[in-house]
Amino acid sequence: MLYHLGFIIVSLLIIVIPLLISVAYFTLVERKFMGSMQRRRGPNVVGFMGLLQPLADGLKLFAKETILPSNANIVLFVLAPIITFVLSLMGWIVIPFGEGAVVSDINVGILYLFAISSLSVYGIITAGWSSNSKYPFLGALRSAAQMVSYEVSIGFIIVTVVICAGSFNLSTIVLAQSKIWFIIPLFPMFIMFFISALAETNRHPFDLPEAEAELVSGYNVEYSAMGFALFFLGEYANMLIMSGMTTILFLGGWLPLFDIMPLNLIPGPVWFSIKLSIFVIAFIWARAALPRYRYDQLMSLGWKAFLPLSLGWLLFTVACLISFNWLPE
Amino acid sequence: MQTLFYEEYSPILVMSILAVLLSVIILGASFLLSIQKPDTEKLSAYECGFDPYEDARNAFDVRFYIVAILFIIFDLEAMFLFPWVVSITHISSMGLWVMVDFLIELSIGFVYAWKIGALEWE
Amino acid sequence: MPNYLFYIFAGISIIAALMVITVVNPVHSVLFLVLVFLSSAGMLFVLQLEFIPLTFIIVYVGAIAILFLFVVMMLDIKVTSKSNDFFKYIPVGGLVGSLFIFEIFNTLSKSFVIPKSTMLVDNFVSWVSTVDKVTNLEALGQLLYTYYFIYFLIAGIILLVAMVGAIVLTLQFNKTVKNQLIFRQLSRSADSAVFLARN
Repeated sequence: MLYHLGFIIVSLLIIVIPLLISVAYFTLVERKFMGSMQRRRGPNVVGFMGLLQPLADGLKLFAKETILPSNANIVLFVLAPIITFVLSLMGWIVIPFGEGAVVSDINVGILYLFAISSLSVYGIITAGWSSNSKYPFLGALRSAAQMVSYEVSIGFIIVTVVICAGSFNLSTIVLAQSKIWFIIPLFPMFIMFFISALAETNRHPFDLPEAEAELVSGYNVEYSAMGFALFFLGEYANMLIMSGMTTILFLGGWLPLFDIMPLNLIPGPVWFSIKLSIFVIAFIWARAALPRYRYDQLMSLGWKAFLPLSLGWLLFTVACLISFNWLPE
Repeated sequence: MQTLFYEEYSPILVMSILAVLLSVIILGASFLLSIQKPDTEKLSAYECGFDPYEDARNAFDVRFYIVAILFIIFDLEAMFLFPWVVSITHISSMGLWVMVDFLIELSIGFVYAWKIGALEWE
Repeated sequence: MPNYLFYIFAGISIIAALMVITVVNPVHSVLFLVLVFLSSAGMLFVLQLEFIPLTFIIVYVGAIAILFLFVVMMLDIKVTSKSNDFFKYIPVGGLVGSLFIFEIFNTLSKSFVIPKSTMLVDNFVSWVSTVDKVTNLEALGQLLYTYYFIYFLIAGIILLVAMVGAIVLTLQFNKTVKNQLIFRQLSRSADSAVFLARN
């Protein structure tokens, strides 16, 4: 029993520690990448070519003073970053990094990820309400309505992928793509999923909740030091997990590009990370290249374009699968 | 009583405890190790230099409420789709048409919401 | 081991449910309600269900409690008044509560009959549950859309009524807000927009 528990804890730490390091270096990649898109250098002082910059940032945030605003609701104010951070770590348990390389291979893995992402509204809304300040409150409201709107179409897209794979288990979904990746038959769904992932993680061009020009920084204005850092880590880990979900659902997870000699010698986790990095770069690219949406356009895109389109494509896929007798199993 | 089910789900429980512990340790260590010197100006709510006049928690637009209601409806619709997609090979064409009927019922509601302007943000 | 977990989750949910009705701040009360939902989802996980608890989390916590939070925030409660006449609701509440409990126990004892043989045998092994041939989700799907399809369609109609009702009740048209009419903007030209104002 104790041996079993120790095994679980070790395998969880093997996930969590690299995750935190990759989140730290995600921020460095973002700053470097945006620097080169805007013809400047980005961080290049701390360490060799700025490689130690994220660690220095982390240390700086660690040494800062924790400010607990006097008219805030202290318990919820402290709880909000913890909720965000915990939820962003929870999703990684069910992600298969390679064949069999998954901590808990549950039957309803994709549904679990959906549930975790639907819970992540709470961290934001609690932060906005408990700060008792105008900017965080408005940011939290916007963010909640936005995440909720795009979650609907994410649900329908997941249903469409599952009907092609025949199971909610993430490993089965990946193995179902060994003949053809779902990005090819379901290309419109892939585009919609990626855009919804941008909206779900409050990223550009949908970063209305933290629009610097109007809301200063949105729901985390009042946070400082490690509270802010936990929000930051949570947001970036959520971005990574959304990239991971896109990889698993549409790009065939750990499967190689073609199942031929030199390509299938590369181990699965390497393929998984390469594909995940493509989406990470796409997240940064969207931030550097696109202007911000207006709020009414954002809502009308979610409700009037994505919702009917994803529902219609779901029915179209089902009809195709049934009429050509292509249903899985 | 150690079945496969607990085997797969116990890491989730352990992970939730571990993650809460980790974040509490991070927050607590930073709070204890760094220098804390609070004063009134630092602790007041951020409002572009002014002291806030009133409590920030104001009533807001009813549209957020409508969005939440519509979200519940469509989320439930997705939840009804989930068992359907894994069992579609085992249920006959009747299962398909039952779902089509269900989707038509909800599409009527969606078209109504669209036409009456519940999805507009003016 | 899992039995202890069940009691822990049950204890958390009972305590949180008590906090829901005793806490002064309505937002705290909604968050305790979320804790009740989460711990009851944990109880269902211990009972080896997987779809139902996830439905709990996605629908109750992820959607309905968010609506409650919106409503509670929209109620605009600044000064929370603590009323001391907590006991004046006891007659009505007690009546409804006892009726509910009576119904539940009545249904439980009639619908879920435990076979006598399983209660006598000491170490009864449920081989059916250890095999796990059909997952929860598939079993539910195979019944819901065939044998119980009429209830499913009724659920659809209820959802439709809920959606229409909510829109009708809440949507009031505000004529003072100026809309952006894209067609009118695009059809504007220099000829129609610029004119000479005489005195």
